[in-house]
Amino acid sequence: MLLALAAQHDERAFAVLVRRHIRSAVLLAAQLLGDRDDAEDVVQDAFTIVHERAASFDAQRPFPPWLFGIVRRLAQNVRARTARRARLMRLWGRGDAYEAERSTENALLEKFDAAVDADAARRALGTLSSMQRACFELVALRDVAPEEVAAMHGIAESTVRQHVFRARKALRGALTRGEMARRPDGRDDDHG
Amino acid sequence: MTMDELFDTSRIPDDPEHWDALAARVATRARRSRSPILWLGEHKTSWAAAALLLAASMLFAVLQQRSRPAAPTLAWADVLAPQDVMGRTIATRDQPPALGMLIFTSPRGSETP
Repeated sequence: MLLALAAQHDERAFAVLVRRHIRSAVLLAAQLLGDRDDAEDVVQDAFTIVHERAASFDAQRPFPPWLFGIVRRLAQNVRARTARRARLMRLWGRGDAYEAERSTENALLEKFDAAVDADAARRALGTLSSMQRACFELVALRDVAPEEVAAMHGIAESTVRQHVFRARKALRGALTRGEMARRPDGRDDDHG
Repeated sequence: MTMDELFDTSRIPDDPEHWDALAARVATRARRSRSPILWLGEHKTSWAAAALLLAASMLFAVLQQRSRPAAPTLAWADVLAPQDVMGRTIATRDQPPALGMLIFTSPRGSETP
């Protein structure tokens, strides 16, 4: 509905459409690119494409998969460009500096540091696949609906739920083991 | 399509004010970066305006061409040509001088015999 209005040059409808989907679009782009500025640039380009091609989109189909498909394609282009640049930098002998600049520390763990043994959590996260971590972060920490995450990554909703379930299970196990390890006698207070 | 490496998003702020501001910026830029050709395609009146503009620019170009003064090289040739008749004839005319003029013109002066 909003897209149909936007296709008829209703700029207010377009603004509402952007506001409704920008959070998921930016989070998706950030997961794919690992850089906030790159993610926002990609989302800007994606909405520019949406604005230009709104009239050609089939209004009977859901809008989010279309938008997220554009975001994924643009992000893939950015990643390919970045990889090419990194190869060039390595050829010029500046690879280490470039990689250090690009790498992002896993600040996700900071959220657990207060309550969980960080090393155990890190180990547990390390056993998860990239997609399991991504789905867990979006659903459990960012409170994005599983069906939205499914549309974002182009996978089935049941797969998202499965990823989140496995991630939770792994982290719960790590948390329990960490708690046990921190107690001097290795015993649980509730049971003794 | 899935990518093998995915990053955490902990550096992305998650408050409504941030998303409001970003959404407003993105929507504005998307509107501004609209291709002029697409804009032309969607407005019938814009075609008439574009055609009018094109016709005016062509008319202007034609008028400019007509009112253009003589080529500067010709004016300079006139000024710099020798003062005698023979010299001026050779330097300033398109055609070669007549044979009679070459025979009967005084070699020193500008006067004809």
